[in-house]
Amino acid sequence: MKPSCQVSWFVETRGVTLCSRDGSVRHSIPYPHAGLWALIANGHYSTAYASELMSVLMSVGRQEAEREVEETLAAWMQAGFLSEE
Amino acid sequence: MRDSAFRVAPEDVYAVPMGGQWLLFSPRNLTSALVNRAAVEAVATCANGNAANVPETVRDLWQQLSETSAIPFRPPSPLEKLVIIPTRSCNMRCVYCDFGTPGAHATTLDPQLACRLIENVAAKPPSTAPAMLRIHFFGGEPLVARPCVETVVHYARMACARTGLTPWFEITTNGLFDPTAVPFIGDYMDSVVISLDGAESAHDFNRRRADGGGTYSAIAANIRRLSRSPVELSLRTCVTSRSVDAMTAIASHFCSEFEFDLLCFEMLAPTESARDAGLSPPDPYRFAAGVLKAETLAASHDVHIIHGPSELTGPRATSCPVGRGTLMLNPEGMLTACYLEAERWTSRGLDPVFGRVDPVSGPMIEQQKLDAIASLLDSKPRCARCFCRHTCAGGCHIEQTPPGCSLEYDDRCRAIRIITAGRLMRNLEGTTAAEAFAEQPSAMRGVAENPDDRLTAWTLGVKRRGL
Repeated sequence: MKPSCQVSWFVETRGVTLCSRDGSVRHSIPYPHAGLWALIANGHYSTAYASELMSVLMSVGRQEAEREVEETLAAWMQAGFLSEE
Repeated sequence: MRDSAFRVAPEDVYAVPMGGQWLLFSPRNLTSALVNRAAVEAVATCANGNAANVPETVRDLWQQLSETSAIPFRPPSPLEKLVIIPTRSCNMRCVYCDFGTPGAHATTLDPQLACRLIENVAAKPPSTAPAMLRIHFFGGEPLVARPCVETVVHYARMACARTGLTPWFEITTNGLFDPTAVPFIGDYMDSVVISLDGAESAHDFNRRRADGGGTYSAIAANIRRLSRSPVELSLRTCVTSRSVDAMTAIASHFCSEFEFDLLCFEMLAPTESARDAGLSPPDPYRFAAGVLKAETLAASHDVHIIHGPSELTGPRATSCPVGRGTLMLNPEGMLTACYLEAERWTSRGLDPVFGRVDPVSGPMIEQQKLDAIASLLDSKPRCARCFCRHTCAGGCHIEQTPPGCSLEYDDRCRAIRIITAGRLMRNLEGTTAAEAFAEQPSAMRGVAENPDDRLTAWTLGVKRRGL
């Protein structure tokens, strides 16, 4: 998966801000989820690595982190922030 | 009238011979002047407390040299930055490397240890404004452990967002990384230092892949990719006996090939592996001349030449992280004071390790050891008579001025003295004068070998040397 071509983003101190190309939508992703977005945006995503990162950022166990990754990606996909390869 | 207690001490004003002239320098307030012999003699008279019979212009000059410093002295601070060493291993096999690779421990830092340290530091932010959390990634090659670097960056940014600190990240890398790392570096690093030793053939002789192949083309491609991001980009060149006469050509090549901000020249350290490869440290005079000549050329491309111990940044107690309150976390979870491996310290009877990070309780620091390391800065007999003592501050505290080192200047001292004097001359008389100085071996030798620069010892020194 990768960021949708309809979306641009910029890194800011508190996380990442997504903007739709036409400027109609603006959405902030704070930490810890901004770390997950960075993996996808920088082309360094794998399920195992994403879960490991979220486990550290959220200070939770691996299973909980995996669930969080799954749910977040589903929500971003539904919102049109992500598209399949 | 100012209180004399706040004036620069006379022993802290220096006179250095520069060809037929004398460079007066007060490192405490970075005031300098280029004068003739009669003037330096008169100023020395003032420094020795006999100002009554000297001309007013000389008294004015002495007044400026001994004026209260407007530049704050930088004492060792409680915490300047964190250095995270994710791994000591490396994907390259540079012929002069003395960091233990390829035999380096393959240990990768558990990012959770770095996170515990960050959590602890962020909870007690420095009192400086703006409050910043500065993190430097070093190696080995840190991007060999890229997941660790990424995890630490995101955790630190999260901690900063929570505590109102401004994060600042720097990475020192060999530049041989997967191009997919470029967007991450460009988005999240503020400063990147990449080692590049010259044009392709010179670089590839020194800095090789594990299979012996060259690395220049892959690194150059990454530098070009990174040039498109807003990161501050520094190139670091290790200068050897083979490349010392090509320093201006190297600067010219880099400036025409790449867009970058800083070019850092370093003298090769005399390691066993360097000797085996037929490399030796550069001649200090030719190295110093190379720095001074490259500065003019680089400036025309908006590139600043750096030579760490010769930077005129103001009076300081150290020109490296040691004693600056830097916490370095190594891959084993130990907190150390220095980039060098612990063995280099223990061979001098010193211990750089002052604590560790516990996965549960967080950082555990032995203050007594930290104080012992900071005390290394205090006693530098070799530096006592040197005009660079408050700018170079002894250079490397382990390799250059360790406890018990000789009183004689070594080659690093010689290079630092010449570069510092040349830069002061450039500030006073312009780049042409500095370049002319770099063309005069006898003038450079006069600076490099002057045994006592203190103005208070000037009369004695001149008599002794028959000048």
